[in-house]
Formats: sequence, C-alpha cells, structure tokens
Amino acid sequence: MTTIRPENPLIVQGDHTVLVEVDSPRYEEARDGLARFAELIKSPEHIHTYRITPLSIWNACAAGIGTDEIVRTLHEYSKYDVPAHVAVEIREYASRYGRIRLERDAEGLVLSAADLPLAEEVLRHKHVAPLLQGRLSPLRFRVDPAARGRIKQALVKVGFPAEDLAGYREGEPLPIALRAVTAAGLPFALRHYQEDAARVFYAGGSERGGSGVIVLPCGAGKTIVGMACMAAVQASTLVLTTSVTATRQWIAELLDKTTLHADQVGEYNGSAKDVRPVTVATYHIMTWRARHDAEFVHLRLFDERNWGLIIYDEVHLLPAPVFQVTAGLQARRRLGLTATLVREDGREDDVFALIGPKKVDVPWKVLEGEGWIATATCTEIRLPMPESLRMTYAVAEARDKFRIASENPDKLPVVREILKRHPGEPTLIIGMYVDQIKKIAAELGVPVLTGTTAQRKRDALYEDFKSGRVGVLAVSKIANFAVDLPDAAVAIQVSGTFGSRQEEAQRLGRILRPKPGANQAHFYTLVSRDTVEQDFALKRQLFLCEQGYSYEIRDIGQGDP
Amino acid sequence: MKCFDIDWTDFIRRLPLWNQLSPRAREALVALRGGQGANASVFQGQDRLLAEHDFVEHFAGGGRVRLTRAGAVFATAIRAMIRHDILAHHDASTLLSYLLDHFSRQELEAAYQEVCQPHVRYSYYSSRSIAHDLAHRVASTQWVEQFLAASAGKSGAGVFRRVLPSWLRNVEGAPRADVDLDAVRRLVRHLMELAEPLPLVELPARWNDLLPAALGPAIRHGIERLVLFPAMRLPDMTPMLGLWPGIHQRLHRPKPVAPPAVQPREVFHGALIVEDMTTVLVAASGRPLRLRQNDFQLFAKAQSELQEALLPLPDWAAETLEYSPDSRLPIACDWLQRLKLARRAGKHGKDLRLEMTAEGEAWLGQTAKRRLQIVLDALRSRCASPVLPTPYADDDSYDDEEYESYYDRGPIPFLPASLHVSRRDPKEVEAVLRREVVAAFGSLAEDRFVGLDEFLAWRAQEANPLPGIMGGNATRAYRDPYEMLHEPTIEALEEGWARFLKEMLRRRLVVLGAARWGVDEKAGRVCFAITGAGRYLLGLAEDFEYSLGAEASGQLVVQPNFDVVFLAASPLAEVSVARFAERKGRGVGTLFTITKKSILAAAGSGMTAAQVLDALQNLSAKPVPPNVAREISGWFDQCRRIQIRPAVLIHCPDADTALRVVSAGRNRAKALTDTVVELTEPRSKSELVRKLQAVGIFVDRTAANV
Repeated sequence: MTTIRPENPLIVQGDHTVLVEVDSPRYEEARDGLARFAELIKSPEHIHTYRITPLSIWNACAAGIGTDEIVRTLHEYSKYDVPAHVAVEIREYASRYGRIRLERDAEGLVLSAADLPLAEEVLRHKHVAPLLQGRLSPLRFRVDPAARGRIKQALVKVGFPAEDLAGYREGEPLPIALRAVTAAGLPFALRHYQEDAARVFYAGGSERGGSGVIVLPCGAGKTIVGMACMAAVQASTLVLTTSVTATRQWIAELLDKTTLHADQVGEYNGSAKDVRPVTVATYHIMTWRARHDAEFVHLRLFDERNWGLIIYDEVHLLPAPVFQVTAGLQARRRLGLTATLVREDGREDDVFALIGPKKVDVPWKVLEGEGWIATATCTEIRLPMPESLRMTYAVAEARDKFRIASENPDKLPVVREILKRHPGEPTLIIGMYVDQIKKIAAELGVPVLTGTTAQRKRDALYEDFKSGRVGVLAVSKIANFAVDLPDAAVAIQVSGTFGSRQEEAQRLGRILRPKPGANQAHFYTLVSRDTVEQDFALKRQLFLCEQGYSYEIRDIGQGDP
Repeated sequence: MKCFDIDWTDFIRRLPLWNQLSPRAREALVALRGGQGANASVFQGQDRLLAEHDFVEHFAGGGRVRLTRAGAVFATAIRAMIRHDILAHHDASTLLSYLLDHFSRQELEAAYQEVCQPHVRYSYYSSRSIAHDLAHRVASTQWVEQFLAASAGKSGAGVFRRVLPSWLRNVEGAPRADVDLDAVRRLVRHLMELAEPLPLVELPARWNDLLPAALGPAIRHGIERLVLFPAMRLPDMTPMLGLWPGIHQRLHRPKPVAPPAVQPREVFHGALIVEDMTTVLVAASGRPLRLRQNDFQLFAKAQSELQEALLPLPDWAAETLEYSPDSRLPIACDWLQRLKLARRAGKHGKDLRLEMTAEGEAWLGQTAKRRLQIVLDALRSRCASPVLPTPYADDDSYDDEEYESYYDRGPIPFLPASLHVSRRDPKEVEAVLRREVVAAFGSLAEDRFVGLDEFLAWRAQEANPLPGIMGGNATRAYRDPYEMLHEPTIEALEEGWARFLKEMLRRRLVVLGAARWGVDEKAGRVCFAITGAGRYLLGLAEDFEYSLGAEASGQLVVQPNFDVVFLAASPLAEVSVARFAERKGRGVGTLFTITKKSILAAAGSGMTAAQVLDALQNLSAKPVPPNVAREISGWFDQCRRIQIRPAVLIHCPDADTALRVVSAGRNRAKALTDTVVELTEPRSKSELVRKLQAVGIFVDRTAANV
C-alpha cells in the first residue's frame, strides 16, 4: 500500500528527477537538504525540478555527505514512497566514490583501489591502463604526475571517480588581503554566503579543499568570492574569464577591493600580454591559434609562473582546449565560478574531474529573498503588424518572415513608452539586426554599440552608462554575445531569436545586480503578434519561466499608445 | 472398492479397534496391501493388538506382519474413503470425481433419467454434462429433501421411480431387502441437524433410535442414493459420515443480514466507459479511425496509441472488475456506435472507418457531467433485451446496408445481461429483473461502502426473484450468460442471481461511475458504494452531482512553463487534462505539457478556451498562471472553421460579360468577383450553356474541365 504524506514537498520520480513543491511548509528545509546532492534543473513558480545524477551524488560525497543521509533526506521529505530502485542506484553511485584515491608518497603519485577486483578492473580498462606506470602492490599503482588530470577524467568516465588527496604545490607566495574600505572610499565586507563559499573552498588549506566549483546565481558576486579565495590561498593567481571587458572588470575589482597594486595585476588578451603575479586572461586568447592546425601558443601562460591558484570564471563556458591544459595543472589549486553546472556540450564530468567537485551552491531564491540580487519581471509585449506589412509578411519566404516581423516599425513607439515608464533607470535596448538597432538609437538619440565598435569607445560607453551619464544604451545582439553587457535595471529586447540557455541567462544576469531602492529589474520583449517571432518568444517564455522569473504578456492593439 | 461395497456393519464393529491405533499405526495398516508384509515395528508395538483382533498375522518369526482377510477388507474400505478428500474440497468437481469413481457413465445417465423430467433428459442445450449436472443436483439441499419425500412413498424406491435392468446393479429402483427405510430417513434427519459430518465411531451411541443392525444397511443405502457420504478426516485418519459437506453448511449457514458499512483502503471511481468513449471520439474527430475488415475493430497501431490516452485503471481494480485492458477500446467503439455518436462508414472491402457523427460532435462539446448524463439517460430509457449478433461474414452477396444490420446490436440495454426462462414472457422477466436490480442496489445508502460478497449473499438468499420467475414449475429451463440449466436447484438460482447482480455492478454501475469500487481496509476484500449517478441511473433520483470530485480537484498544479504537475494520483483529472495536453507521464509528477499543438487538437475536437481554462482552474490547487491562460486563449482565438466544397466557376473576359452570365443564370449564378461567376447549381450547367449560346456567349472548349 502506498504511503502518502501530503504535507511533504518532494515527489521522487523513477527517472531520478525530484519535483519540489515550493508552497509546502517544509519546502525550505527540503530544498536545503536536496540541493546538496541534486542539481536544480528548472524552477518555475510552484514546482521546482531537480535531478539526481552520478555526478551530483559524487559531488555530495566529496562534500562529506553520506549515502544514508541522502536516502534519509529523500524519505523524510517525500510525499510518496521513494521508488526502490532510486535508492538502490543512489547507493550504487555513492559506493563508487572514494574507492579510488590519488595520493602522494615520497616518489610521486599513487593510485590506490579499495579492493582487488576494482584494482584489476582499473588495470584492464583501456583508457586508464596506459596512464599507470607500474604496480606497487595488489591495490596500488604508480601514476605520472603529468597524467593526474587525464587519469581523473578517465576514471570519471569509467564510473569510479577518484578522490584526489595528492595535495597541491603552494605556488609563488603573494600577500593579498581584502580591504575594509575600497579604493573608491566605500566600506566593503564579504556577504555571509561569499565568506562561507571561500571558506569551504579553501578548507583550511588541506588537500580536501583547494579544488572545486562554486555555483552562485548571476549578480551574486562571484568575482568577490574569487577574490576571497585568492586572499585565503595567498599565492599568485591566474584568472581566466570570458571577454576583454570581463578581464578589465576583474582588474578594476581587484584594485578596488584588495591590497594588490596595479603593478601586481596584469592583463593578458589580444591587446595586452602582461604576465604578473595576478594575471587576468580571456579564454579566447588561450584558445587562439594562427591556423586550425597550429599550436595554441598562449596556453603556455599556464606555465609562465608558479601559479598557486587558477580561477576559471564562468566555468560552464570553459573551452575544450583549456580542459586539456587543465588536465596538466592538477597540482595547482583550481576554482571554478559559475551560475550553472549545466553545459551545452555536456562535459560536466570533465569539470568535475579537472576543476573539482561542486563546493557551494546557493539558490537564487535565497539570495533574492535576502535582497542580494534583484527581482526580475519579464514582460512580453505583443503588438500587431502594421497593415502595410501584413501582405508582405504573408507572402514572404519562411526565412524572411522572421526579419519582417522583428523589424516591425511599430515597436519604436512602444520602446518610447517603456522608457517613459522607467525614467532615470539605466536601460539597455537589445536587438538582433544592426540596421534596426541603429535606427532606433538614432530616433531616440541614444548611443549604440555594435560588434564593430572599437574597444576604447566601448569602454567609454560602459563607463558613461555605469556612471549614469548615459541612461540608455542600444546594443546589437552580436555585440551582446561577444562582449559583456553592462549592468542595467531595464532591458528591452526589440528583436532576437532564442539563443542558448547560457546566453539568455547571461543577458538576464546583467540586470540582476542589486539596485538601489526597490531592487527591481525589468526585462521586456517586443513581439509582433501572430508571427513566427511569437513562436520564438514562446521558447524564451518557457526558459524564463523555468528559471523562476515571473512572465507577463501584454497585448497592444492597433492604434494603442 | 466402492463405498457402497463396504460392509458397513462389519466396518462399524471394527472401528473401536481402529480408534485405539496411533496415527502412525493407522498409516501403516492402510499402507499394507494383500499379501504384502511389513516389519512389525512400523506398528509401534500395536501389531499384537491388531493380531488379537484378526487384522494382521505375524510371520517370519514374528518380526513381520501381513494383513488377514478381515484386515485387508478393512484397509481397503479405509482407502476407499481416503480417495476423495470430500471434507477439504467439497465442491462440484470433487463430487463429480466421486460420482465417476463410483458409477459408470451409463449408470449415471440412467440415474439422471430417473432424476429428471422426460423433457430434461433430452436437453441438448444444457451447459452442463449429465454427470456434471447430476453432481450439482446431488450437492443441493433439494436432493436430500426430495429423497426424504420420496422415501415416504409406498414404493420406497427413493428418487428412482422404476426398477432398472439388473446390470445397473447399484442403481436399483427398490431398496435391498435388508434396508430399513425408516432408519435411513432417521439417520439422514439426524445428520441434517449437524453442522458437519460426524465420526462414524460415534454413530451407534449417538442416536438410540438407530438399531445397530439397521445402521450398516442404512448407511449403504444412503451412499447408494447419494445422500450420505463417507469421508476420512485426514490429519488423524478418522472415518466420518455425513451429508454432502456443502449441504451441512447450507443448512446451518447464518441468516443473511444487510451488510455492514466498511472502510475502503483503496477506491476507484470513474465513468470509465464514458471517458473511453471520449478518448476514442476525440481521436476520431481529428481524423476518421480506420477499421479492420475482418472484425470491424481498430487497427493495432491505433489501439496502441489510444491505450496510452485511456483513463488509468489501477491493476487491482482491473483484476477485481475482470475488466481486460484489451476490451476497453472495442467496448468504447461499440457504445459510440450504438449511441449514434459515431458511425461506421465506408464500404466493406475498402476504406472502412469510424467517423464521428453530428451528435457525437455535440456530445463532445458537453461538460463531463452532461456527457455522462446523456449516456445514463439512454440506458434509463431502455427496456429491450440485448440482441445477439448473427454474422454471416463469408457471404459477400450482402450490400453494405444489409451487412450493417447484421452487426447492428441495437441500443444499449439497461441490464447488461439477459436471462431467459422457458415459457415466460421475456419482457415480463426483464421487467421483474430490472425492478429487483433497482431494489437491490437502491436498498443501499449513497456513498456507503459494503462488502461485495456479503451484499450478494444477502440479496441472493433474502430477495432472490429467480425462484419466483421460475414459478416453482419443474419443467422450466433457465438460461443466463453463463449457464443453461433445466430445473435449476435453489443453489443454482442463488448463484445465478448473485452473478446477475455482480454483472450489473461490473458492466454498468462501476464502469459508468454509478458505483465506487474499492478494497476493504481490514479484510482486503472487494467492496463498493452506490453514487449519486448510480441512483440516477437506477431511476431513484432526478439528478446527480458530478464534478470530478474531491479526489480530482486540487491535485495538480499548472506551471508557468506549461507543465501540468500532479501532486497526487487522480485518474479523473488525468483523463480530463489529456483532452488538451500532451502526456509525459503517468501517476504523479509532471504528467502533461500544454502545447499549441495540443490546444489546436482540442479545438478541433470541439473544446473551447473557456472549457479548458475552467477545467484547469477546477482541478488546480493554484490559479492558472496568467501567461498560460493568455496563450491558451490566444491559440484558441487562432482557430477558424472553413468549408470546402466543389464549385463550378465561370471565368469571364470582362465585367460586362460576367453581368450577362449572371443575368442568364438568374438565381443560379452568383458573381464572386468582377469577372468570376459561380454556378450555384452545377447540374444546371448544360442549361446555362445553352442560354448563353443563345445570347452569343460561347464556352471556350480549349479550356480544361469543360
């Protein structure tokens, strides 16, 4: 007979997904328990979905959470009996963690297996065997230190993740401390979750810490966490990030909030090649090469100094060649920062193996509730196609219909109206078509930023926007993709297909920084009604709802203001 | 040896010794056969006792024993009693086995002929074999009563009314000379007072009106006449004697009372057939469903797809209702056709399909309650018996209409089964049955669960209309869907009525949501409760409440990403949502996603935005997210209905010519544009062409389709 506990919030499904009822009185405690061993997949308003995977279980094991505790949590908070095979498989996944260890002895690295059958299985696996240098005993094998990363990758794929206890090189010492007052003269202190995250990562300097991923929502201050970890490690640091603008933002933050001097911090990208005790580089430059078959010349940056810490910002975007190099950097402390562990290319297991397990994951609802990130409302405004374009649209080729709908000239008055409703709030107008965005910018008298805008002008525009000298900035989608967006309170998307989930999340993340006053951010999408543009907008609607944002649809009729 | 070959006088005389034997010694004695010997030690020291009473004799220096003649006879008698474990398995098949063991088929047939009326002897259509039927009669209390009544007659011939040829040596008309018929009757009556058979050893002392000398012959006579049955109580190997054990039980069964209320631990409630019909009709509304030529059923692929969309029926309910998943779609298709909500279209041999009718379309657009009510009304108004089909599938000479009629089973009757009694007006019989069915289920309070077996036993014993319908006429035959019997026993009539009521539950009440079906919390047995819809169907109420009920509402959440998540299992809510959402799972969890495609399909089947939103709002624990409501309304707003029809168009070179054509065509020509005219009556084309020619307008023959 099925036991039913309606007051409990979890429904554990046979495919290892877990539904969580947000409105249950036991929601928060259930969420806090579940998030330690399951990944949040989607979080629309009432029911959130988590998934239990081998990786999520291994992450939990790495954090010291036992199987009994995991299963007990599920039973404790589940509405219905937990499917028996789910508990069995959780135990099976968990049983595989820690049965293989990487440790260090006087002569180098040692891989040890928990039992003889496992040792024999590992020895015979075609991807693992070549990386073993010799058998020291029935259960122990010598491993080339250079293969530390590759063997961890191979073991994850075999299904037996290794617990890496081989420790780290300390790296070149570098005194770093966080300021109590920033260089700009403002008081500064870590938020409690930032402090917790850094402490968990560093783990007092033991081999149990020092490598892993910290998951924080957009706008939660991952850069600050990175700096806090640097202050804990006290060693030279290489920071890899997504764009030139991002490197400059990192550098600005480092100089503003830490005791580092300008000559201690270097920028390494297309236009600068300064290698200093703290160096901030882009993924792009690391993966640049003259020809498709040429060497990645800049990857040698990893060997330029005795780095004590390597920070991978937006680790979910870490490109494949960097993975390969990272495989050889396992003796260095490694920190991944991201808003989501889910990768478009599915290489989450490589992140686990080469960067490290998830150390911290703070739900965005918690941060939103505490006011650390802004509440975002998403509004889709549907407006009709003008009569003059309806026939043109109707008879157009399929691939042209989208552009015609997107470039609906009646969107401009709507943009004006939105701007009127948000006076004084920093606003971005984002469009896919450069001609359209330039025309809108010209009509509104606002600056425009496209992919061809020079970096110097781009930096100047950002500075003006940030300081409030420029209240509205028009940005083309190409620019959006290649270049980081500045923080804003309002974003108006006049055209654009649904991009990758990361792109959509990133775009929204830029407007989720805490705002003074109501701490509210607004995202508008303008869509021509009953066109293919509306179909694309539906995909965005689904994505945003699954992220937990409120989504409203407003209709504008013919001739409406 | 057969039981009536036993010398019962001698047997009873030797019983006291048997009683002194240990169970092990008894087993050893019974195991010995003929001249076979055994170690004396197997008798655990009781071999001397047996030898003293001439059961065994020692040989081989006293270490071994073998049966004496008397012992062999006794052991054989014991083995004869063991052969059929009557006490543990006193069912018809055990009795049949006993009969076949003791009588040849010829003897049984002869006995049967003696037992039954002449017309019954030639009952080709009985659903039971002679032996089987005889066994049922022998197991009936009426058999004993008839025996006692017949024995009182002057001939003393028992139930066998005439002397049979001598070769039927065990089935004689007259009792043997040593039989005291009074003693037999007394013995039978004494045994009728007991709730179960009696140890034989107690018999002589039990009733002092039975003389020992008469006892043996009386027992034999009773065995021969199949009113007394010797048996062995196996754990301790005690010889017993009694009536057929089922007769003891029946004579001493407690008086049935109205069943008490019970608490169910699992419940199924749903208008299963109506929902299945809805599922099929929704599918047919999108495109006609192709039918197989051989049996007019859906093709396997369509069945497989539709099975996924059917209202989930828990396994325990399917098992206890005996409702096979494979039968659901054929039943739904059958009901749709019989209620004229769908029809079979196309010609035999090609393009046979199931199409929705206009009535079906209107029915689909109704609320859940109204759809159910329409079906219930159709049954309430019916009195006719179901018509059994008589197909002539191989005969191709019949055209479609005639062919159709052979498979036309007519309207669906109120009663799920027919019951015929010879020489009774079927309509009268049906009227009585309907009245009694209504009375039986109407005697229960609404929504009060009672045990099924208790209810059936109560009604079958206390308010069984079948004996009345039979009219006490021994010449009547009785036929229901399971059996055809001549001169059915009272037990058969009780079983028949219980079965009939159960069929009513199974094939009407439960599957139409007129009864809830459950499993009793304590005993784990089937229980049921009549609902408001049930009282409506029975004609005991003028209306009924039917929402999807507390078990359906509040069980799901509509998410802003269009997922529909079920927080608790609710088959009714599932089937409601399935009409306008794509299924992703079953039971609990994310079961559906609302998509544009699913909404457009719902619109095509006749649903409206208001119906969808109302359904979601009524079922959902939370308000429907505004973006979801907006999109659903928007998608419905995009739907339009168009007409496609063939038309004859007349293309004119200029507007003036078009006017002249319209003028010539009068009210049969309509200008669509300045130069295009439609001929609204295509059949008048020739006439129009002639008129136009008369005024100098000629048809261009080089154009196509002239």
